[in-house]
Amino acid sequence: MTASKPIPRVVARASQVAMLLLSAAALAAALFVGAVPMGRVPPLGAFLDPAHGIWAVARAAEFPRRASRRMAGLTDSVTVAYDDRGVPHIFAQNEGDLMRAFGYVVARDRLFQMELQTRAVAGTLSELVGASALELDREARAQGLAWGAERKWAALADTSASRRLVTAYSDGINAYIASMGRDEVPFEFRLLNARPQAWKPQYTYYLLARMSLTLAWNDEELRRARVAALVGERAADALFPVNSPIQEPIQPVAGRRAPRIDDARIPPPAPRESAHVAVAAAYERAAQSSSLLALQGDAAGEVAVGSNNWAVAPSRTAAGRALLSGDPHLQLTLPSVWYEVHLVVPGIVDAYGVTLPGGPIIPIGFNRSMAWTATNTGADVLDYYEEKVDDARHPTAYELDGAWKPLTLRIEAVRGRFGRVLRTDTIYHTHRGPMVHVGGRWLSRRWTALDPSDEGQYLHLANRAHGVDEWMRVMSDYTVPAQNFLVADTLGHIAIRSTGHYPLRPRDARGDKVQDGTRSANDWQGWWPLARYPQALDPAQGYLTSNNQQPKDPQVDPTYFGSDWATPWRAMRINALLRADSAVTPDAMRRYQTDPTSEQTGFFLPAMLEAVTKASSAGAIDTAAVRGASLLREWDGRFTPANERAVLYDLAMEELTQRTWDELRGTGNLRRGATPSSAILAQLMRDPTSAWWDDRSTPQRETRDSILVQSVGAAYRRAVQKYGPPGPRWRWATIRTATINHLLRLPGLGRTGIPMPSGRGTLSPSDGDGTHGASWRFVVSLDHEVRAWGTYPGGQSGNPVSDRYDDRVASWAAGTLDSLRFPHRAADVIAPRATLTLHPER
Amino acid sequence: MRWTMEFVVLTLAMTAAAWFTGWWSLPVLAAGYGVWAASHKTVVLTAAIAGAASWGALLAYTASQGPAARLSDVFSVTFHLPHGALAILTLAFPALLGAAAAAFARGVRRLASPV
Repeated sequence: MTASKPIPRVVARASQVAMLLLSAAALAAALFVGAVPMGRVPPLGAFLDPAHGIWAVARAAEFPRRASRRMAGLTDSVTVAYDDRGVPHIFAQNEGDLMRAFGYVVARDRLFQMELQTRAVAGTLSELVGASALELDREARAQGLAWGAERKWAALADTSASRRLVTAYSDGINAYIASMGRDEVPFEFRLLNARPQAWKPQYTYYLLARMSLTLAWNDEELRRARVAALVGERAADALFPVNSPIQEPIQPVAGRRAPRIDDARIPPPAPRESAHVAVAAAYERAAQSSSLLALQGDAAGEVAVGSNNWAVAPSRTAAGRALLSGDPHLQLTLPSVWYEVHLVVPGIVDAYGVTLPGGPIIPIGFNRSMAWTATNTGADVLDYYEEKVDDARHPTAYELDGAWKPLTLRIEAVRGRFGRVLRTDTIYHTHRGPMVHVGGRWLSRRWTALDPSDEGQYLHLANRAHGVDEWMRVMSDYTVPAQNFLVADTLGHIAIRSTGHYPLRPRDARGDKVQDGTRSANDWQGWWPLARYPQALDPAQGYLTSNNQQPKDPQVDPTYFGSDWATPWRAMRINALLRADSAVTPDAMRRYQTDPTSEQTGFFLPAMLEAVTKASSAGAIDTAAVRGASLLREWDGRFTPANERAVLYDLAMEELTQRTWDELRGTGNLRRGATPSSAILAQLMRDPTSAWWDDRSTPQRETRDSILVQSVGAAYRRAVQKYGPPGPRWRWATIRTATINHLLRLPGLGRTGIPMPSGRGTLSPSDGDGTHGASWRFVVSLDHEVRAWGTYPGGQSGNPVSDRYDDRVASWAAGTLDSLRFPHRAADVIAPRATLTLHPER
Repeated sequence: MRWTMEFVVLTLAMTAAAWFTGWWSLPVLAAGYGVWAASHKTVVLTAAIAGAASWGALLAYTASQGPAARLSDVFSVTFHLPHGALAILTLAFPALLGAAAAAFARGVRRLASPV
């Protein structure tokens, strides 16, 4: 046994130093990750802090039952009562106070969404999320949306009502930002380690510009030019026609009780030339880069976004009162694109509806006298001009009427998170608008969305209108985005008008072709007079509806109005339903919104079945086609979630489309934007030996029927391959679902896999990934005391852990509507969820 | 008994400081404790447990005031982390911070003292 020796002093010191260094390193590391962001990971100290970090988001999920705040600028107290659905009913004594309170209230719920949308338009997303958003920012700046919005704002007179009200609204938002406690900072700002920026009044116009991009961006010229390069001008005209081959227009045609179908044949494709293919490729690249948010058809030529509205006159309703249904479709997001609100100033305004967070007016809603809603018109309000410039790489001037005119230069510097310039672009403007460089050609863009206009003023007055006549009058000068505004009032009037500024082109020129920019004579000559707008008031048929279809039958008015019309299936379906029902109830209006039947199937399904039967009796046929057809015969034609046959039709249509339009597959994969619509395919069905049916990749010449048989067979094989033998896995509910992504596409914050009664051409259409759909559904009964029901796919709160974040998704998916509270006084709000009183500063 | 008292006082101090000042107060208090109790064998462990306990107490309070469990779930799904990762991180981080600060302070104190 050995006695332990005392540790020498130097060894003890060394040990202490080593421990000190070790603990210093650990402390430094902990402090570093606590204080310094690492890549996308925020500083963990402040982030994890359970007092005021990310956890505080849970404490801020619901508003206190009663709260009182002081706000600069208010002249009187404002009461905000949140009802059981989380809808704020704002009662103020004057419009300025109302707008301030409204700004405060919407910021309280949706501040991050408002900032993100603003930045998307301004092209400053990179400053918030980093360089990954650089290309989006460059695209936004090239489009000039913020530039146009700033022009609109600058053009408003200092005394204008719009400027006054938008400024008050902006003051309210900033009052919230200034008063926001550190526990109230929204979830997403915390993840991004960012703070909200101050709100400027013109951001409201940025938001309008964003809606214009979504709804009024129309680059048919580029798509059409690509198709023309591949198959010739005549064929391109027929595949992407100015007029829909099936006419069920918005403006009713007197005496017509069924759609009009055009029997014109589609000319065969012209022989392809390699030089044309190169041109097509250039246009394809341009279209891909310039239509990030534009509506595009899917692989079967179906546009997945389809808004609907309809109103029924008292003569055709069970209660003898006008009914109105609104069903605008947009991209589905969480938080939702809409924010529900009730705005009251006694004797001046008492309106309820949905608003875009950041916009102080109610574009879709109702008041004590009437209701209004909208679908997108889709008119062509954007034209391209090919410009001749002095220098192809760095132009300084463009030629106009034989003289050189200087280009206006806009320098756009996109910055990253810490202010570092990521990229500087020069945007060239002619007198028409910004230019883009496409395949070695300079094209300038003339677009109504970039013109000074004051939509806020018109909608502001419309929210206060007392009836259809007044509403139509105050909305006369509304400019962009052009909308099919549908209105109904308590006196029983119904009316519709495709409202917006529509360009008068020289010599009735079409806007779907690139124009020669060297001549000013090719510029727009003015605007359509109001009397020529598609419109109707109290029609004899007793109802009105719009579904993004061609608004006027060209037999009534052949003037070019646009060419990018939705397929007519939804219009046909709702017209059929309304023609058949002479005692419409609010509940029927609700049911129609999610009606699972498509008029499209009637144009294709019988022909598919007949082709298989014929081929089968002739002896030589693919057994998959026989099996597929026998299953399709069992289908009731409805896209209900429990159905196990709809998938087969869906795949068969996709196969049919791909096989038929193989001539357009010129530059790599078939591009969605260049797929003719299913209405054109329906037109082609009437010509069974057309050259278009031939599959160029096979030696034999195909006909319509052989392509139909192939399509059914291929659909069956694909279905079995993807979902196994026919059975529960073929249920439509598991195949066609809605996807509601979070604005930042964060996986835990979206909602996916929601079964929908949606299919090709149904009133509630849906695309393959289900990211678009009904953004707000409502029904209004224009009784003496207006009653309304509604829902949207989300909730009022932007806080992802709040009950109010997605509390309406279930009712939306089920096709039910909530009863909307429409109290006369704050005290009438039954069992308010929370109350906020805003007082003027002393 | 003395350890318990020290632990409770330190935990309460850390809790209050986190609420009224911020996360950085935790290493400051832990370091102070490390200097003051440098001779105690358990000083590092005490600081670590007190750090975790103080943030745990604040977490419990938050859970009583709002849907903290839902927040934790959302965080886990969003960042592809195991269930409860946010809560574990929230307890582990102050423990590490408290232990490191106390150990460092104790080391400095010992180094400054004659062996």
